[in-house]
Amino acid sequence: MKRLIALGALAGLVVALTFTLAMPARQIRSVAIPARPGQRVAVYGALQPYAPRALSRVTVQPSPRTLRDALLGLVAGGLAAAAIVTVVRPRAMRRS
Amino acid sequence: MTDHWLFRAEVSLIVGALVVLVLWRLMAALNARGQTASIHVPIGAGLLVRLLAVAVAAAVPAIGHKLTSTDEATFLATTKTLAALPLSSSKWLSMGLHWTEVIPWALTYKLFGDCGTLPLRLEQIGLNLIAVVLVSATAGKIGGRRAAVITAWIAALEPSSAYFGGLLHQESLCMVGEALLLGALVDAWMHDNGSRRPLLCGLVGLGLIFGTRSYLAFFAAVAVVLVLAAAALQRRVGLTRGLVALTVVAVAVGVAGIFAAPHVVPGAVANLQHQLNVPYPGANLPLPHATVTNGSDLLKTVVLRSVDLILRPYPWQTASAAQKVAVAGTLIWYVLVLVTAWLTIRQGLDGRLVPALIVIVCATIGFALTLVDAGEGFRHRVNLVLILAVPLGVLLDRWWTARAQRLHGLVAT
Repeated sequence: MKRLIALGALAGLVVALTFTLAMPARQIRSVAIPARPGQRVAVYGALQPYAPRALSRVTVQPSPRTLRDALLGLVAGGLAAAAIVTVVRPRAMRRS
Repeated sequence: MTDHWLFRAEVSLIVGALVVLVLWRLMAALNARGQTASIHVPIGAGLLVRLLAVAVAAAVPAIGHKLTSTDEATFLATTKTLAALPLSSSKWLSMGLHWTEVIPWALTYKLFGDCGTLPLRLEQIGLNLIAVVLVSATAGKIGGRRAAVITAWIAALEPSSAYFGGLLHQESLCMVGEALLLGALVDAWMHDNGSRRPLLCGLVGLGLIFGTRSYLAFFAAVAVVLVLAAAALQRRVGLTRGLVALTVVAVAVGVAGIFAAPHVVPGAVANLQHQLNVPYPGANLPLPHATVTNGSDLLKTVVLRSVDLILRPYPWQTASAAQKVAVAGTLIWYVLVLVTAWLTIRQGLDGRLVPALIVIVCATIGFALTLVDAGEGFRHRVNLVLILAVPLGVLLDRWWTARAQRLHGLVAT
C-alpha cells in the first residue's frame, strides 16, 4: 500500500512538473503597485514601463511557480493514490 | 490553459481525495460498530450524482445560474475577505460562531490561496454525504443493517439533495448538525443510561445548527426537550399515553408561546417581520406577504407557511429551466411523505421513530417561519428529506420483511 501511494505521489510530481514546465501560457495577473509618476517599477525582476500615475496598475505575467505546482502535484498524486487504494483494496480482498 | 488551471486542478484533486478518505473511514468505523451495512455503493452513487449536478450546473447556465449568482456570491466574498485576515484575527472566531459554513472554505483559501470554487464544492459534497452516512447509521441503530442501506439510497439519490449538494450555502454543514443531533436523540431514546458520546454528538450537532442557522437552533433545542420528555413519559406511562399527553402539552404551550411572543420578545417578532418583508434576492416564486405583528397573525403564519414549505413549489410552477428540473424533486418529495405516512398508518408507530418525527415537525416550523419564497423552501426541504429518510428506511425495511414472510408462508403452504 505504501509503495502504491509513493508511486502515485511520484506520478503526480512528474505530471505536475511536465505541465508546469511545458505550460503554454501563464495566468495573467493584475497587480497594483504604488509608485511615483516618472519612476520605474520592477515586477519579478523585470523592469516595467514608467508608472503613469501615483498608483499604477500594471499587468504582469508572474514567473512560473514551478516549486508550488510540483509540491502540490506530489501531494495530490499521493492522496489520490491513497484514496484509490483504500477504496479498491478491500473489494479485491473480499473477492480473494 | 494556464498554470492557474493546473493549480486549481491539483487543489481539487487534493480536496477530492481527502473527502473520499474521510467518507471511507467514517463508513468503516460505523460498519465496525454494526450500525451500517455496506453503504459504500449508495454513497458512491451519491457522490457521482452530486459531481454530475455540479458539472451540469456549470455547463447549463439556465440551471446553474441561480446557484452561483445569489447567496453564493455573498458567501464567496465573505470567504475571501476572511481568508485575507490573519488567523489570529477575532473575525475568525465571530464568523465561526455565526457563519460557520464559511470556515472550511476560508481555511481552504487560507491554505492554498484562491483556488476557485470546485474544491469548496467538493468539501460541501463531502459534508453532505457525511450527513447521509450519519442518518444511515441512525436508521441502522433502529431498524438494522438493511434499514441503513435503504436510508442511504434514499438520502443519497434524492434529486434535490443531489442538486444542492455542491452549493456553497448553509445546507451541507447544517445537515451534518441535524444528523448528529438526530443520532444523539435516538441514542437517548433507546438507551436510558447516560452516555457521553451521544451527549457530545448532540452538543456538536446543536452547535453546527446554531452556527449555520441560529433561528433553527431554537427549534432544534425545542425538539431536544420534547424528545427527552417523550422518552421519560413513555417509560412511565407507555408510548401511546405518553405521546398523547406530550402532544397536548406541546400544542398548548406552543400556542400560548405564540400568543405571548409579541409581548415577551417584541424585538424578535419585529426582526421576523423585517425578514418576511424583504424579498428573497433573485427569487421568482414569492409567497403571499405575511404579518406577524400579533399572536393570531403569528399562528396563522406558522400554519400556512408550514403547509407552503411542504407543498410548494407546485409541480406546475415551471417558469424557468431550473424550476422544470425541480419538478422531479417536488414529485419525489410528495412520494416520500405519502409513503412514510401510509406505512406509519399501516404498521403502527414505532416508538424509536418518535425522535425523527419530532425533529421533522420542529424543523418544519423553524424553516417555515422565515420563508418568503417557494424556491427557498425547496432548498430548505433537503434538510427535511434527510431526516425523513430515517423513518422511511426503517418502515420500508419492515414492510420488506413482512412481505418476504408472507411470500415464504405462501410457498410453505
